[in-house]
Amino acid sequence: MSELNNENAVLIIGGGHSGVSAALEITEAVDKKVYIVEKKSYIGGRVLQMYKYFPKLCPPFCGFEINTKRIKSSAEGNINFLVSSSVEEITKAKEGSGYKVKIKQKPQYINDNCTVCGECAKVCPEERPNDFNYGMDNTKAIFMPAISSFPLKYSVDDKYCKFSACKKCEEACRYSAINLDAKENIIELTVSDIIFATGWKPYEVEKLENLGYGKYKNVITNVKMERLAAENGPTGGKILRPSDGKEVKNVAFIQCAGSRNENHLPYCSAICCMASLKQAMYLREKNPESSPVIFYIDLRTPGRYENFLNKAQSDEKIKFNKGIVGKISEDRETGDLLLDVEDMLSGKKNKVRAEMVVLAAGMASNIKDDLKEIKIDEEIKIDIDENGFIFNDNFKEGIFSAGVARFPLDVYMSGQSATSAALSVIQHNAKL
Amino acid sequence: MNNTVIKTDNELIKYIKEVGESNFKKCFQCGTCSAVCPLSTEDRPFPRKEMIMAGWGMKEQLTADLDPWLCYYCGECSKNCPRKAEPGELMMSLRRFLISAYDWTGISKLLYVSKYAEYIAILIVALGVLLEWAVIFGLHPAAGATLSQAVSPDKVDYFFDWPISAFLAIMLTSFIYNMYRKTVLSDKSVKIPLSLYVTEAWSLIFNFFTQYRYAKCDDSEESATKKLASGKYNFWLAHLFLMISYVSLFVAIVFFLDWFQSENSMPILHIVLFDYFASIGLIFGTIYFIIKRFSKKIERSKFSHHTDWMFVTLLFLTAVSGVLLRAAIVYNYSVSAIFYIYLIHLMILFPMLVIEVPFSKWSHLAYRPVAVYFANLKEKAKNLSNN
Repeated sequence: MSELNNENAVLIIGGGHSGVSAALEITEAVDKKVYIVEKKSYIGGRVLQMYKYFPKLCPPFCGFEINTKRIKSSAEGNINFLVSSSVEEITKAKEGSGYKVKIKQKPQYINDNCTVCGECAKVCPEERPNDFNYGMDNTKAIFMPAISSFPLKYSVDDKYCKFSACKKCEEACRYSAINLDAKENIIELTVSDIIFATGWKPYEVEKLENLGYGKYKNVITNVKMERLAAENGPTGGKILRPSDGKEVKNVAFIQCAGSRNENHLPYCSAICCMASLKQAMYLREKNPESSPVIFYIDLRTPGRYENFLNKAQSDEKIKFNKGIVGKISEDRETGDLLLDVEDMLSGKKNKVRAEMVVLAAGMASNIKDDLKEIKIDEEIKIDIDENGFIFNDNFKEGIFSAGVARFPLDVYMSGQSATSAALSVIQHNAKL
Repeated sequence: MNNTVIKTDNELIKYIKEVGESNFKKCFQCGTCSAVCPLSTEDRPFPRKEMIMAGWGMKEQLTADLDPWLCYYCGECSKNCPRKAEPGELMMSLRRFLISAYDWTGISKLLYVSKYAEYIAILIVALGVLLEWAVIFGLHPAAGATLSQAVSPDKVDYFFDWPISAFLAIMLTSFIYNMYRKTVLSDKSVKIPLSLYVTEAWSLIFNFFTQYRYAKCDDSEESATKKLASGKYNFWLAHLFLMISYVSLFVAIVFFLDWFQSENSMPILHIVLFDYFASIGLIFGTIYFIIKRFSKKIERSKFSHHTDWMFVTLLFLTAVSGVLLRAAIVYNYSVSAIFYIYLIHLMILFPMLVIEVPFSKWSHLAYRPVAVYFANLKEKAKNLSNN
């Protein structure tokens, strides 16, 4: 058990765009140590899985790269990353205010000697579904988690690796970067503040039984669409449908899949309209003959985002249908999908054929599930609202939220919420 | 865009809220309901448009709308509604509104708004029957009289059955004419050729006797036998059984009352059709629907208005007292026992006929098939003028 220097540190749970931004804002402003606890083996979270950001349509590197640069120029030891780690226990610290936190770090099988040469993966006989691509392809059990992983090194999936029964990778590595006998690590810290930047997951759209996700191969989610469009995705950037690998032209986007639905997520997920407009543009950019249709209740593109909507609407090949799809069935011969939907502006009900359907899955907060795995003192009050967000920060207790842990927002606003959380931390620690 | 001025009516919104439990004001017009509806057609999808029409109180459009009658409350809309706005229940409320809109007397509206008004109305009719009976047959049978002397079938026909039949016929005909005026004649966009009224008449008869639209509620690709086996037609068949039983008994009693007051005329037909089939149909059917309304498991039985309860209860009591009466005659009970059971039976039956048939829920027996007929007429006429 290692005791780290932890005086006055801040704990940030979640190393996505919001968590990292909050860490940078704090350390750049004041002399305070920050620990970022990240479940995955790399930081960056969901934004790295995007093909492009809206509204500028630049790749995620252009946004997140700034953060990694800032990390590099920060003073040594101010920002500490605990990847492959999870918080086990939070208790009140005895002396004064603050919390004692117990963190479990999974065994670090790969050390910093790794040069990302890839020889290990070549000899690895085991495969695993690639969660970075939402399971649409496989990687070896020793793998590079993401093209822009930070820290830049390979990972081992302990669910699929056979360890001592195989060890081929250890032999193949010329840099002694692999140690399959590594043990897990327990880290104990005392922190003054906690920022929850636990982020989101796409809503489980299979629960919307009428839309057939999970039943029909060519019904996918918006997050999968990002991976299909990305050059480093499972199809090398070609938008091919799952059933037969055909390049699709006629794609239906269905908005509010789970969101704004009292049987599912009662709130608006805030990003899906922009995301679908953006994805319709991916299609148009990659295939001039493509013709996406967006089925919507109303299009929510607030403020300057309206320009983005105008841009999409000026492309006459992008069609819009006011009216949400009630039912999807499959044409078994072709794998196409048939959508039952009312076109409200004409008042007619239609059966629309589509080669692929993209469901605009809403954002579900991770925090409720995450908290179930943490043992927390009863006297510590974390105010989670009925939708699973920490909307009201507990300023007196030094418990804050950033990013989608607070409420559904886009990358740009996540940055703002991170700055806000950082400012709260600084104010909370000010000596009056 | 044409500059149509839409008149809205706040009182109507309040009325629709009062006669059902729909949260139609929560609707955000996503169109899921119309898209999932197994009964609405391509050209005339519902209930999304009814949701906004009700939300805005668009009285003129709602009164002219036949679609509430084409809805059989399958419940797909309510099940899938993201706002839990209960579109299926709104269509139910609109049927209640339409019943009161076709009724020029204003009685329906009163009965739908106030359950006490309904209780009082039923009580008045029951007491009226008691009074009429006392005047015609006295308050107890004469000593030694046979049944036909104590309660003469001819007198029952002259003073009870035929007047009520005439009353119902006049009321319903005038209401249906009113409906025709508001839904068909008011629609200036279609002109219906006379021949269509004849050629489309089959749809009226077919829908009256089969209520086939119930079967269409389940639009899955399963075979009909599989649907039957898995109970998907149960509601439809129970409803049909109840309705056929009711209609056959009503017609037989009005025209052949003699059959019921003696024990041996046309025995086989009578015993099989009325003593068994129709009695079982009425009692089984009413109990089935009462259980459904208590258990609230399916969408269409989730909410019950006081008129729903009153209707099914009166029908059940009518059936039970009717079966008792018939049993008393067949098993030769004393004339005085039969005399009183007969009186009680009529005191339940008549309120049901006078109040429920023209002014309340029972009127759907007429409006539903007529609406299908009118809708067919309009659609066919439109197709003719387009070609």
